[in-house]
Amino acid sequence: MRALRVAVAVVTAAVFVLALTYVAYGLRGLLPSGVVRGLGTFFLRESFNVFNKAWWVGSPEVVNAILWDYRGLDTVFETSVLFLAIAGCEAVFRLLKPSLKELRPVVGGYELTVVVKTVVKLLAIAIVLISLETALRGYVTPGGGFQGGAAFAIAPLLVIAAFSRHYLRELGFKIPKLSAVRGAGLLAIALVALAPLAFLGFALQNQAKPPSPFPGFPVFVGPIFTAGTLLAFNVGELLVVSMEFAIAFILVSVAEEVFRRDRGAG
Amino acid sequence: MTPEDALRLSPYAIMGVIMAISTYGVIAKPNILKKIIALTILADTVNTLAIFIGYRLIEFPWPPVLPSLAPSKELLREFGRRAVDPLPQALVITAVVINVAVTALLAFLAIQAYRLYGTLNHDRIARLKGGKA
Repeated sequence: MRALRVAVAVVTAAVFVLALTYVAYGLRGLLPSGVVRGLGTFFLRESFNVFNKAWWVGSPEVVNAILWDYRGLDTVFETSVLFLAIAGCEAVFRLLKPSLKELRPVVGGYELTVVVKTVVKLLAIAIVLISLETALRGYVTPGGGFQGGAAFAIAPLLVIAAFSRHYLRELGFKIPKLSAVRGAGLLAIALVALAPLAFLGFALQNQAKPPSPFPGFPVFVGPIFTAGTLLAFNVGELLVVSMEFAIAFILVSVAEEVFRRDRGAG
Repeated sequence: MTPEDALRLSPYAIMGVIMAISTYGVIAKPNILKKIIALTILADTVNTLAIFIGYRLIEFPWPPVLPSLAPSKELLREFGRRAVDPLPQALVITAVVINVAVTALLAFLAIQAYRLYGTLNHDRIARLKGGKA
């Protein structure tokens, strides 16, 4: 049985690499090449084409423009996949007695030194600031809502490692509260995506497009450059991703003792 | 094949080898945790490959970010000539998110399986008959 599995694995790996070689040679000749495919060139030319705004997004960051405008539906469904996966994690780790999850920690247990704790405090603040910067400027510089959210979630993870799960809870990171913030983020994304429908536009429409009567979202709100919907989408995605990762980290740090007691109780 | 070509293709060869090894790991390893690790390595390598395919082999390629909010026509034209392909990067960020979601769910399931069965070896889990191994 084991020999058969190894044989299957070797054959699959070989086929995989051969297919890869075919893609590398057959599709584009010797990779990488000096030219960009037509679709990529279109995105580069039109994303911030201030001289002909027929297909523009109003964002100089072309990757973010593709994510939330040209291929916005992809990103919406990607957010749904993430939401469903984390919901699945919560379902797998549910307890028969939910009150057990907030078991008080053992007093006088093992503690990390003051050096580690101080450094983690400073780092956590820096991480939160950097994540906000990454997410809120995602449509001007490299970055975006997902990248910012993923960076943000490192802060609660560090706090769990250096202090405890209980300390994080006292800071206000409770799963119901985090779920509410995540819901707010999802709602914000949905509302901004569906708003153009009220003006007979397309769902997820950002700027004015030739076949749609919707005039498009403003690119500048006062002095603030918003790139239409991209700022709102990035903020929503930041909330969703950071809170979902934080929920996953809090769940995975529940003590084994809690689950043992829960099964005993069930 | 000139040495230059070999150098140009070497990243693809390395990624091909890593993909082959990780595919082997996903199929041949009986331990679920090792399968998950191999799967993440495979996904990350595929993402790296996608980024490499989007690279532009010219002297000074630009990132796909326009450096000005009031660009001139020349800058836009130069941007289109110089910047790397943004589409693989956009697809990869989507793939990364999906990969994170799948990995998180798999890890949670693996932890739960270990709690219930006391082992992560899928052959042993398959042989269990309603009790510990």
